[in-house]
Amino acid sequence: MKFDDKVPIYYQIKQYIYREIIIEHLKPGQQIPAVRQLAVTLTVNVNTIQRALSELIDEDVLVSKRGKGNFVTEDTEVLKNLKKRTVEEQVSNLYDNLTALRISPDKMLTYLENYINSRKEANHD
Amino acid sequence: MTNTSVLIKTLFKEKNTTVHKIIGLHVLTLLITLIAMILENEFNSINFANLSLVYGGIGASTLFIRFALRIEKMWTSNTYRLIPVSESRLYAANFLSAVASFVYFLILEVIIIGVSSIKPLSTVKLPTHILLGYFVCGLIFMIMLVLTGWTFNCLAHLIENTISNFLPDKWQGLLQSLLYVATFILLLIILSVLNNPIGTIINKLFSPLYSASTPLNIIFTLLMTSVFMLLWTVVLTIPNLYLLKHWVETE
Amino acid sequence: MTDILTIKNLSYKRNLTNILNQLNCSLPTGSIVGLLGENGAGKTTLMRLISGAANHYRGEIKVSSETSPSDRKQLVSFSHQVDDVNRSDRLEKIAHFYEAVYPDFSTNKFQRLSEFLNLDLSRHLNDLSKGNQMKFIIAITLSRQVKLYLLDEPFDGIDSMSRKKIIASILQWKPEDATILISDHHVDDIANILDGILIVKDKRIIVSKNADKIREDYGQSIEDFFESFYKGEDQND
Repeated sequence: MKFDDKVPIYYQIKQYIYREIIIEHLKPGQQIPAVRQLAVTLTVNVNTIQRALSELIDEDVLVSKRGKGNFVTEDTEVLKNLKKRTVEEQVSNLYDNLTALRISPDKMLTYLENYINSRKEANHD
Repeated sequence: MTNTSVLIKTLFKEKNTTVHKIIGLHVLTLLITLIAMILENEFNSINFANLSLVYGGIGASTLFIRFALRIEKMWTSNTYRLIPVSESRLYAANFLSAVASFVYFLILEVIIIGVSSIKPLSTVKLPTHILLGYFVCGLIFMIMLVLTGWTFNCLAHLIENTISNFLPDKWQGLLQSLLYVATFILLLIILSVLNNPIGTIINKLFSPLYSASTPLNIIFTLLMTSVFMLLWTVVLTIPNLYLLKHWVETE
Repeated sequence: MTDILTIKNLSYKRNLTNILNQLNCSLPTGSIVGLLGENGAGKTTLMRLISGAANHYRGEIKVSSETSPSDRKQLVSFSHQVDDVNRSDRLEKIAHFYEAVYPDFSTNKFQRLSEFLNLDLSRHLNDLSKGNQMKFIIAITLSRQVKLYLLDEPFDGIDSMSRKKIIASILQWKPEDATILISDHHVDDIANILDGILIVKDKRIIVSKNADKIREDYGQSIEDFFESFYKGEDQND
């Protein structure tokens, strides 16, 4: 995995696991690989992985079962929120960037609609 | 901490590689000499025995120098200085393994020289206990001789290393040459002190073995000189250990 | 977290030159820390002092609870301990030496590490490429079971494949409670695996910081952060 040098690694690992859960590479109730194995696969420090995982446990996205390891939560509410939060983050970025260009919310919708349609057509060709 | 006897054994085996190379060369040279003598139809058992003795002497001197270099190299080498043992144990292990390896060499040499001198030796008519006495005392004498030499060489290098700590880089070369001269002069002084006992031994070794008291005299002189060298070694060990513990570091 | 290493007011001189002066630093247990600095800044010297190879210094160096150089040797595995082996020997023979001489050397770990690093133990050390020689040095160093590992410039002049393999072996084989100090003069290779960094400059440790904290507080990569301490000087040259 490629990391952005300027952003804390533990934060990027959290984002990476969010994504894996949302696209269901990691399914609800599935076990997360062991800490050391994650460290080797992602080529990062064990302590960094540990920090990311413990924050995910605090957020209830992961559930730690004593002696067994860490598992993706089966709480659909938490998963729904996670997806909502992650999507909102992207939308909020878009919104801020467009606002910076002085695009009004109504105009934004039009731009977005047009763009989606043009992508759809491109895919049909 | 590393077990001292294990350390001695490991270092002994390491040093024996050099012993085997020199012994191998000795045997090879003897074979070539033998073939050359036979081809020229000039085989003479006394000449052959003498040559074997000379080769052995060259081998022993080479080994002495090789070990002297090895012993002092250990003090500045991370590979050895990082071994978890105290300085005094490392010092003891370094010297004892060198002595053991040198004795091993001498025993192999005695066998080779013995075999290559079978004919001349068979004419020597000395009682076995005297021969054995010669052998044991000669061995002790040789051990003490090399041990004193190594200890002295070690002191010279440890002093050089310590002094160089107090000199800027560009002075290091000058220091080295000065120290070599100083060491040489000191060695001459020690040799002149040792000169009398050594002279006596050599005289006695080459004097005819007629009188019954001569062998005992030789043995006595060899042992006295060995004790004298042992004292030297002990005295020189004290500054060596001090310098090693407090001043001499790896490179 | 407790500290495995604490150094107080360390000063060290060689050939009348001050190399380290009143240096202070500490390393937390169980971490991987980068020791950064220009060539000649004193990184190797600091490691020699910690390892117990250098004995003539002022100040205090404490590893775990041991302060004397010969006691520290038991607790520290330093990559330079492989400096003076006979390079024409086979790897397995050299490994036997370490097995005999270091009571904490684990032959089992060494074998598994060499397998992981694809080292052929029947080869002679001087026949190996520079990358494989370094792999061997790392395998020997990490096979000792100690509290503190010191790796001096393990990536200097090493091809990128070997570099990746060495980094993976560090991550895979570091005991959980052991600390590894890695010196380097271009952090980029190892920035992701570091918990923190120490920067040696002007004979002291001028920075001791957590790596993610640097990214968080300065919005900079570790490399840029490190180089920022040298910026002014380059322009003066």
